[in-house]
Amino acid sequence: MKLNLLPPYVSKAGQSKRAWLVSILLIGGSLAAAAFMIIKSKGDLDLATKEASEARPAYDATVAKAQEADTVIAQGTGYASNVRLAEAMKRQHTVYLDLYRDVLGYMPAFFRVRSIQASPSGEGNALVRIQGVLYSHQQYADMMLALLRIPGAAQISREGFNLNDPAVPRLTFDDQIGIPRASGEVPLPSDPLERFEVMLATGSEPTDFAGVGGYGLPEGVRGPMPGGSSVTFTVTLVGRNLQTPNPRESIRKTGGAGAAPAPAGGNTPPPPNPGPTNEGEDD
Amino acid sequence: MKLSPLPIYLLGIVFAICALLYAFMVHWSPNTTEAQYQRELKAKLDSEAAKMPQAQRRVETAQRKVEEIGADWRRIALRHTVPASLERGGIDLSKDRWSLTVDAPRFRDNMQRAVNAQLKRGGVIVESGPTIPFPPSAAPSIVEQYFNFPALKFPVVMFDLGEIRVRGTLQQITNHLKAWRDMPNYLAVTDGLALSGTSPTLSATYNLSIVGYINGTRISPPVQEGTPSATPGAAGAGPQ
Repeated sequence: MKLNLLPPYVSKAGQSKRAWLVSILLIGGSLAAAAFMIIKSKGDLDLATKEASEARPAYDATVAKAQEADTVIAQGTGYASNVRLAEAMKRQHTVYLDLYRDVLGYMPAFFRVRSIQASPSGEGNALVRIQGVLYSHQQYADMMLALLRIPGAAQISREGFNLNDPAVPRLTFDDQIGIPRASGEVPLPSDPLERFEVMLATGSEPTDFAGVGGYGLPEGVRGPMPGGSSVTFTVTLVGRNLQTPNPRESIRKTGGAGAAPAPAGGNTPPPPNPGPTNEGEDD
Repeated sequence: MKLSPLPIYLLGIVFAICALLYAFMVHWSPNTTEAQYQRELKAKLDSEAAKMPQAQRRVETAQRKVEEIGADWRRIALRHTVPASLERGGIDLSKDRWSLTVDAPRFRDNMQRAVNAQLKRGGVIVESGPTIPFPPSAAPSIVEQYFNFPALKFPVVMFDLGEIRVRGTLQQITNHLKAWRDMPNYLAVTDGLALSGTSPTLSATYNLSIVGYINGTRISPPVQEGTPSATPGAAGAGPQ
């Protein structure tokens, strides 16, 4: 059995009416809110778009101005390249002379320089080859120390010394002392009389001017005197840039290598661009 | 059909949610995002636009630098470019190509004279001097081959003249090399200097390259020249 406990004034019809009313209000409210969202967001977007559009001309003007600077710079690039090349070419004439002056300042007095030559060696380094004359093994060693004093000297090599200093020989039947002698010299007996005889037999005295090493001539290249050695030292100097400007390559890089040839048949090619002429030099 | 209150409530709630979702998803969210993008774009544009004074200064600086470079080049050009006149040691490339085949050898002779004079600077004795290459005699290609135009933007003669050998004192050789800096009408570069000999007379060897920018505002256009027939009178060789 079902019991209806609702009071009699609560009817089904009244509940439905109330439900419809609340639902309609709810839907109306949501529609109003939706309309607000649509209108508000559209308005914000329009405003932001308009402001961005208004800001663009100033931006475009700034960009155009910046590009104008690039255009101006591009106009001067050719001149700048030519000027740099010309200045580098002018500087190059004294680069080797300055290097030689610096290096020769460290040559000891006993070393006579016969030739000096330099060449670039890698990035910013120079290889200096010095040929000269010296007369003892000690000088040969001292030269290395002298060359190491050159600022930037990183590596030194040497060659050409004719080592022929007297050395103590082994004892023999004739030589019971071990008299020092140079290579190629005959062994000297230890007995004074026998030694005298040997020296008389092997000794000789120059009877004429030998002219060794180019001496005695009015001019010419002088080589080493007897007993001297013609030696060569090669010094690697760090931080001495001998690289020579390459005009052909520099002009080609800035001068439009590979440009199309001028059209045949009488068309006038574009004017040359050495810039200012020296037409007025004599004016 | 009568509905109970609960479905009516649910119906209203569903419609309301649908309307709100539509407004949010289709309009509010994309518009708000787009508006944010536009505001950020405006901020960036304003930021860039605010650099106008810097851009202006950059233009002014560039113009000043270009003027300075131009002045530097004018100073160099005044002394170290080839005049556009044969009488002044240069060459006028605006003449027709056939005339250039006559003028170019004379220009080459002038250039050789200039190099010879330069070689004597400093008081040295020249043991071995360079030869300036002779221009081609073909009119159609004389500008292209000898003056490197239009392969380069402007006509220019460039020659690697090889090894030079001179003799003199160290001071004479030094003066001789320094004098290349002042060679009129041309730019020269020396390389690979080697000194040898016994003081006071030394020998110096070096390599020389020379560059001559040709002045002028116009260059004669290329011409066409027929190839001479090997057998005059042969069929089809002569004009019809």
